[in-house]
Amino acid sequence: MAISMLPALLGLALAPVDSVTLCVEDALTRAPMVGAQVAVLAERGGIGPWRILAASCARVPIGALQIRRVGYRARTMDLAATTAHGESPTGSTVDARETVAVVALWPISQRQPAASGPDSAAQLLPTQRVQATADAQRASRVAVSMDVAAARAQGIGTTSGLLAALPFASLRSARGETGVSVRGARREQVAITLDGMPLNDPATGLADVSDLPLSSLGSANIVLGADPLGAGPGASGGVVALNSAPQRSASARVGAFGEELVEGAWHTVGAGALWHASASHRRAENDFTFDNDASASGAPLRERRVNNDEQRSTVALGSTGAQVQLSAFASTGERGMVGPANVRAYDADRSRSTRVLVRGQFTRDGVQAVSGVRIFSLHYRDPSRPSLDATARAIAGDTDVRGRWHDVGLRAGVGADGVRASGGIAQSRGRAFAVTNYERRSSRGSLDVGGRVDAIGTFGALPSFSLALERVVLAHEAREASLTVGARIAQAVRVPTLYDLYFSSPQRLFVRMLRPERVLLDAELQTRVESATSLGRVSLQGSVVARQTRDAIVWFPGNFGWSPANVGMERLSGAEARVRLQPRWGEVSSWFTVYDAMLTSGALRIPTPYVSRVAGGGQLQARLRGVNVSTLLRVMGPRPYTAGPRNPAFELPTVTLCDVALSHRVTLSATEMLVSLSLENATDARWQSVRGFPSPGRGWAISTTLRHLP
Amino acid sequence: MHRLFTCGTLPLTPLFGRRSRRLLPLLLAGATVVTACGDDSVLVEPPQPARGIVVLDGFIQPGLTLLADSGSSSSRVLFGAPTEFDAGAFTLERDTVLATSSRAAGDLLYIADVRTGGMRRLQLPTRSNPSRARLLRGSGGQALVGVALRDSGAIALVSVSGTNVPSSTRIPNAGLCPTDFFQYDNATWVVDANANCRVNYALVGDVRLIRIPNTGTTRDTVVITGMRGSGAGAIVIGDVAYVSAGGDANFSSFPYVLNRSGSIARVDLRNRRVLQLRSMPTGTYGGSAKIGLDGFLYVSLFQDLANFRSRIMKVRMDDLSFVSGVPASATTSWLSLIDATGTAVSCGSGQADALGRVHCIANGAASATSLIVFDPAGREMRRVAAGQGGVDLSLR
Repeated sequence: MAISMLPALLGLALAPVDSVTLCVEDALTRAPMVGAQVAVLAERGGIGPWRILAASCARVPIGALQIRRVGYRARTMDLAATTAHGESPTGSTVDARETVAVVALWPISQRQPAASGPDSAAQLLPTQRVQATADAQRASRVAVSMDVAAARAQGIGTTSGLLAALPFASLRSARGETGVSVRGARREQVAITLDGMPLNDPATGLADVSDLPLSSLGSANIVLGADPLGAGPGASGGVVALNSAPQRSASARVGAFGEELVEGAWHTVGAGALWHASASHRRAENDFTFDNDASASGAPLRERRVNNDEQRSTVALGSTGAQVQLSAFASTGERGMVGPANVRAYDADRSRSTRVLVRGQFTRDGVQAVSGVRIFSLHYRDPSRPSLDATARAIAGDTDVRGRWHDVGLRAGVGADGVRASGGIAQSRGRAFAVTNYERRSSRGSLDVGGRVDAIGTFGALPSFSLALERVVLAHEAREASLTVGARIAQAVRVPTLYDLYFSSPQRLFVRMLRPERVLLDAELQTRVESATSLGRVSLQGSVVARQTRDAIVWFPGNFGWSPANVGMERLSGAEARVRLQPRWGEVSSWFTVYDAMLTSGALRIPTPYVSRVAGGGQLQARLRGVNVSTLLRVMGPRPYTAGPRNPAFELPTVTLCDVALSHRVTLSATEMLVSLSLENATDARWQSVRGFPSPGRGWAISTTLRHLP
Repeated sequence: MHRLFTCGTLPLTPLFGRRSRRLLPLLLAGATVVTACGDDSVLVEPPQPARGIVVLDGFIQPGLTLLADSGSSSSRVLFGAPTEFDAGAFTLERDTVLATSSRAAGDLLYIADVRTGGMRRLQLPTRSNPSRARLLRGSGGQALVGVALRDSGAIALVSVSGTNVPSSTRIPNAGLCPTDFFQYDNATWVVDANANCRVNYALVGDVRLIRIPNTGTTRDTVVITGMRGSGAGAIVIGDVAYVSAGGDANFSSFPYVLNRSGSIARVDLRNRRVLQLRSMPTGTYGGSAKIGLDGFLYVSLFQDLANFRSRIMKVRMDDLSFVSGVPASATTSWLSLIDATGTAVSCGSGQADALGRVHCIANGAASATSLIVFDPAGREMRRVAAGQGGVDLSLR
């Protein structure tokens, strides 16, 4: 802090300036936003022409401004008043030329806190303190964000890699797909969204993010705990929210196991809107060596993975105007479907998946309408047994309207899901929901309470609620220190997926009734401590959590193949903690979770598969003159891999993974070049994220990213 | 197949007459003791309860659950991860359990000793798609195990000695989809499902018995006309083979179509001809046969393709007629097994002990497996937890 204040102490703050850098972000998620529009308010009450911000940050004239963006409440702020004082919120004198004004826009459905003045929307920060990975602020929730630019500096080149680097996230991948588990939940209990649009396949309940290009994303947020109001059904364990961000960039990456990746993004302003496009192509051989511990000899055999290659192509288009935002995303990928390590029967099998997402939103007079369509298709080919080739296509459509009435947020929508697949599988159903919530926020705390009712298929009305309280119990402004405590309780529901419904009745004639999975109680007590220290800003957050789920939908072998059933009660209890230090030269953070996730059915006590009792991770980033050195550490304790009683013989062993990266950032005129060299799994740990499917050992990658600076 | 006389073949053929039916349970029970102990005093011993019950947990945490004839305690022999085991049945010969993983789980042979709890796993030829395994010879830590290789159309003969690397030979040209085999009269007899197992298990023709002499290359084929099923198996008693198969159904699309129910046949091995074929009741699917220690055959099947209720047929060995009237008021062809409250119990993979008590397994919520024992009248007399994901059972 002292060094950052040096220019101010030298009197530079008194130099006259006529512009300042304005950054726009989502008030809830803290995600940087592109496509906002800014206009200067004239003294006599008029308003100047709207300027579209092609980046999340841009130089704007000092004065009274109005900022708006589709889907958000417009805000007015007076930068002249702010910069004239030349003071940060902490009272420190800063140089306006080195200052970033951060304005947080509130989604239309959220209540905007009462403003004490026209400039209260802006938080004035010295440039040096602007963090690329500001954490999301959600009442009484553990929420963490990661910015894509920061991730690239850590050598991360894929969306899967981005999620793997998120604290509290546990990734699983068997045959190229990527699923996420958070807070001891099964993968289908985690909602993954892209700009608010669910990515979970209605047929399986799973969301695969492996085909999303990093070039189209700006940030990723992970929010732990059930989110019935925001994400709705399916978000029992938490939400991973991906945010797109138009940019001008090009990136190329080569790496171990035949990895090649090129991607690019471009945007321009025209016809009153920001238009953007991105595309990517990635391929990899994935022919890594692995230890086949399933061999019959008793000793692991060193083998090489075959038919594990993949190639994916994506394209994304979009426009953001004053009232309308449109986006479309299409991807196609093909990969080998090699089986478990000891099985050669699938060596020739291939799959091709295609995904199309289209979304539009319209905002007017404080009311926002959002519509989206998602199409997922999968073709599975078995050259040695063509009669077993299979095709599946799922489609989902949603429309909702959101707004506020006084202090109450309102949202309602309808939708439909359908799936058709080989073998005569055909399922469809309609959906409808209504949400209302009340929020109260102040500098001393917040209250967020709401209820939701879903009607899905024939399951009738499915109510759920959420209540969160947060209170700053201690605050020391001079030291920017605070102690916040919070509590949250919620209910949630997850209806059977379309495949659940189909396979719950193997005979197809007499449908076995499958009930929705109900989170009776998702409770959390949280405390958060933040303080500025001589080393840098320190934050510490910890939670104790409990979740009780009735009628958990779990697949077990039935009388004719596997089928899902409502089995018993699933209980989770545990604790989460994260500490983070943000010195000027970088960041150090560490997280830790302890969970006891157990399904009880009759006399059986079954730990939730793939949930570690103990897990943790850490991150170290050091920046010096454009050079960034980072280390990412992940530790997973023993993970049960069957839906059977706890038995060490059926657990994956503890694994420690370490990624290291070195990157160098060079700015040439308006272009920034980032060159990154990374070592993934640097210690060459032999491990499996899914039993029987080996993960790669040590790998390397070199990437170059060119980014146009606004 | 459940060969009772692996220590030596007794001439039981004369006993198959109707007059001797009442003696047969006693003789078979005693013969089992002969097999295990080599004792000649079998005919003077009364029927004994089973020495133990072996349940194969085929899913989730594959392995064996071993139970005693009474009490609730059990012990386990673990086989491995679910990706490495997918057998739906096993063979128990003396104290040796044999089971195999198909091509979808790595083509593996599992050999377990239920006395010591030891287990050994052997790799079979890749993509050979093993079916039944049989203990052909075994003593002093050495064993010769045969395995029917469906996709290879062959029988593998694996020699195992202690912990040494096993050696194997192969009997080629053993049918289109050999699923079981036995040795009789200096020849290997292959039960050929006659199905396209390499692709989709579609049936090509009737089940066949293929006789392969130990010397020479000739093949004699006995077609069991009218018998269909991709999971055929055999039980050999003296000169007679009891061959059973599950039937033919189309599961590729909804609604499922039953083309033919399962059946069981008696085959005269000496004269190489089919003596009798008995179809399972109309509408049923399946036909996995075991021989009870009471001298009856027990066939597990599904009542229909609508609700897949598991049923157990009790079949007389001499004429393959169904034993109905269990309990006496029952009108069904299968055993009407009831619990203490009189509610019908559905369970599969059944086998009776020498006292005529039917033992079977049933999977409940979360695939928790129960061993259920019924008295000769079909009333439940014992229910005990028996692991999870149970698929097969055998009495020792």
